[in-house]
Amino acid sequence: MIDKLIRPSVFLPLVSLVVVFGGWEIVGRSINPLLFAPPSEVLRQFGELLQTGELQDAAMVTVRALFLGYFLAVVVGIPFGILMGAWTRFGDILQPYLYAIFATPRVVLVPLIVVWFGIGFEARLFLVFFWSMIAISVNTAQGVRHARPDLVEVARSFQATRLQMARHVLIPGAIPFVVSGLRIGAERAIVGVIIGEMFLQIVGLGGVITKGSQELLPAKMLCAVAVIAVLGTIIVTALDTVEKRFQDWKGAP
Amino acid sequence: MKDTVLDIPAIELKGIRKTFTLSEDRDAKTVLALDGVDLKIRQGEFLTIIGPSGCGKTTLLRIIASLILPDEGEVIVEGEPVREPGIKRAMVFQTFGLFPWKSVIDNVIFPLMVRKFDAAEAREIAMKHIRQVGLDKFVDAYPHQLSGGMQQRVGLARALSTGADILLMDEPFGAIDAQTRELMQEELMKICQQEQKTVVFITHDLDEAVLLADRVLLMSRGPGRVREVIDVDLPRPRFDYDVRGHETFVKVRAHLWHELRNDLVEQRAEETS
Ligand SMILES: Nc1ncnc2c1ncn2[C@@H]1O[C@H](COP(=O)(O)OP(=O)(O)OP(=O)(O)O)[C@@H](O)[C@H]1O
Ligand SMILES: [Mg+2]
Repeated sequence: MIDKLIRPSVFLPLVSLVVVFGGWEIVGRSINPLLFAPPSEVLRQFGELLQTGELQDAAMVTVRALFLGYFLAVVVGIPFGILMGAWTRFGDILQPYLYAIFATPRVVLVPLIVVWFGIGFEARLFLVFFWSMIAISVNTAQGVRHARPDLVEVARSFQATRLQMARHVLIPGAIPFVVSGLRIGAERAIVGVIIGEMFLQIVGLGGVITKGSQELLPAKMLCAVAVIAVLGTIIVTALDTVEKRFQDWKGAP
Repeated sequence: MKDTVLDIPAIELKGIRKTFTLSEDRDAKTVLALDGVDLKIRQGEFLTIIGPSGCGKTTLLRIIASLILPDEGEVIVEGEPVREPGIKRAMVFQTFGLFPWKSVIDNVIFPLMVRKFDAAEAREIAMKHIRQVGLDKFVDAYPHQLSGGMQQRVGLARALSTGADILLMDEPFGAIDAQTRELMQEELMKICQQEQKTVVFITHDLDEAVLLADRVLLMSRGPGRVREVIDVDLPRPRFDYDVRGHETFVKVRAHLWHELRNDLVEQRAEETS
């Protein structure tokens, strides 16, 4: 038992946790409670939010817009990207707009969305969908375009049709790009949903943060932040699994 | 065996010319890669092509495969002009061209699957050729788990599985170590003799060019032209006697080297003047 604790791989993270949370506790207690909260206070607040059901309800609201929006973005974004990458003329026509959208700070779109979709669920859904869809399709298209020319030639020499070319050469070759698109898309989806909840309609986890700041309850804000972090981690882990599943031909490293 | 050769050539090239443009600019530099190639390749013949680097060998093979079109001239396969890749020709690539995400069997099945063969039948054909190249133990392996020689066996099995009469091979053993290469040369000769394939085989290796060939095509340094076509009159099978010591082998090899060397020396002289 002691032996195990002394091993650096166990010992160091433990020390780091104790130091960080201990430090946080000490600093948290010495600062005005309206501005900052120690871990003990966050934990207490967490229990209270769970008891009233506020946190669960908020998380459900966020998860609904986030997962539905992201799901739609994946379902639309990947085929769209494949089309753009494989059908170069189509891609060339759309590329400048997509890049412009891709590079524009997403906040500037918020007022437009209010005009088009109001401030409710649809508006948040669109925010999530649109931003992550663009990232996913731009990356997918890039992956398809970066297909290995020698393998394209192989497929052509055996008379593969356009569809077979896409299915057996372009898409498998694009998978690493698609996965990185999915990652960027996931990050954008989370930011999108939180922005929507903080600035459009004050609901969900973003809403909890906004309310926490208005009510001067930093512990409440930190609770919401923690849940958002967990959500993000779940998505990233899921993507890692997907990636491994699609790349099993590479075998163990 | 080779007396069944029919009157129609397997491949006929008529006045093939090809120019490459190096960029999209209007006044970009152009490279004349092939300058009027005429050639008839008999059915069942093993033709090797040798020539200085950059003389247009790969370009010629890709034109024969209809992977690119010539600016002028015609490719005629078994009597019919062709402009697209077809079922009678199969390529073996220098860098193997295996799909890394497909297992050996799926790579070999690929040309059959593309042509919508019945799955069971396709598998049977593919397995036959995987066995033929001696890879039965690696049916489900992925390319990265195989050595270069084994990967090229897969490439060969894939080309054979198409059932094409004509094999187009661009330096297929160029990236393979010398001992494995000798073994594969022998196996290729056996397979081609059994199955009466017509083979166009590009190589940089003089020994290989002479060892395999019924005829050697020597190309001149760019712009690519046919410099000479040499008959290699050596008895087959060539692997059960000391073919490299045979008088004809030595003579043809020496002649080819002499010609190639002249070409290189001229090139150096031009470059330094
Ligand atoms: N796609 C292309 N675009 C532009 N130039 C090309 C292209 N393909 C070939 N060339 C040019 O055509 C000439 C012949 O090239 P090719 O690849 O056919 O030579 P090669 O005989 O196969 O050479 P090596 O022995 O090195 O393989 C070279 O000068 C090359 O630069
Ligand atoms: Mg070449």
